[in-house]
Amino acid sequence: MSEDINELFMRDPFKYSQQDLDEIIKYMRQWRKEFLAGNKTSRGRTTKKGKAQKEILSLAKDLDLEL
Amino acid sequence: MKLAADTKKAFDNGYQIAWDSTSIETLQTCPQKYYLSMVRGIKPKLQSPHLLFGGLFAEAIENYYKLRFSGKSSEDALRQVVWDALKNSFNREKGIPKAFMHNAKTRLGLIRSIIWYFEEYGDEIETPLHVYKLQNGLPAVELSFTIEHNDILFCGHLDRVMEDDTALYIMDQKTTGATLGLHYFRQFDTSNQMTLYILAGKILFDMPIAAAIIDAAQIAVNFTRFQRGVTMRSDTRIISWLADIEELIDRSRTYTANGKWPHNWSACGNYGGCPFRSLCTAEPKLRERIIEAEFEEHHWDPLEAR
Repeated sequence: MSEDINELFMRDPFKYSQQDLDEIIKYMRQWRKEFLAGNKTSRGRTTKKGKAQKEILSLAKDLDLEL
Repeated sequence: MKLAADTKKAFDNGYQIAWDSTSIETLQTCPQKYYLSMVRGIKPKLQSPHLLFGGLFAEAIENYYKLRFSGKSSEDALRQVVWDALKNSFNREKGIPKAFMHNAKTRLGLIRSIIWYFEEYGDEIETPLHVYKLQNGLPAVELSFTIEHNDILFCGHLDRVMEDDTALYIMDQKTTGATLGLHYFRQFDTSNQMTLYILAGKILFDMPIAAAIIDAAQIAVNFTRFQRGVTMRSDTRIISWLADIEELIDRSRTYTANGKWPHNWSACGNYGGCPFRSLCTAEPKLRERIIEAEFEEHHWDPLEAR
């Protein structure tokens, strides 16, 4: 998990702004995109992308698709 | 000795008169477990992470549809239920998030699962299979029911009712660490809960109930996966189930009358281990001290609407 989102999760949610919530939702949606693209590892850790994942991401880029 | 059964609405003079699937399952598993949890009314002090996680997840899904039917946009509804889940999983007194005590069913996993759920299924209001709208205009979510059969009241809470062109479906939210697939969904073909819900649906609604849909989410450390399974019940099977449950309840009445609740020693390892194992394996003279140290009151009353 990234430092920012980790810090956000530790804070009192009763004091959240709408922006804080939108950031959490955006983070989780991006996480899902990466998961569907084949990255099953924990977010925030630097890992090597597998061959299949690289191929999917490359194809998506060539076809101008958003995963 | 003070018994919870003395104050619960579901009991009359010590006898349980209103039964939900939890009471039925507990009695079927072990009469002693049933006595301790329902009649004596105790549960372990340490809250089950599965109940905490599952409860908050189901509540978020249900509240989303209540907000959508009240006129909120899908984004506003999602933002609200995510915020509520974050607040409900935060210990404001201590100023820290609640500890879920589970490696996958965590607070992060909860919020991820809620958001990913709506990424997976979208807003099921105008889809071919959509949330059923009640006559009062409200969505059919979190519906408490009580139905009478002979001298028994059956009660429960339907998570959601869905509808397509031809029929209604009782949908029930489940969260699990297990891999979803045939093996996982097969358990629901004999589930007391699904039989009761389908029976309730057939009585409560004018449209036919085609099936129960198990809306399952596999909660892992780094992802949440979703899959839906279907289970059906014929009228013949329901009638057979009712006969079995009547016999089971008759036995509970004998236990109550005699004040004796036998143990089913072969069930102690089920469901990850019975929470009362430490009690049942202790010397009788130590049991009250163990109850005081490890257990607290269990406020489970099938007749109380959520």
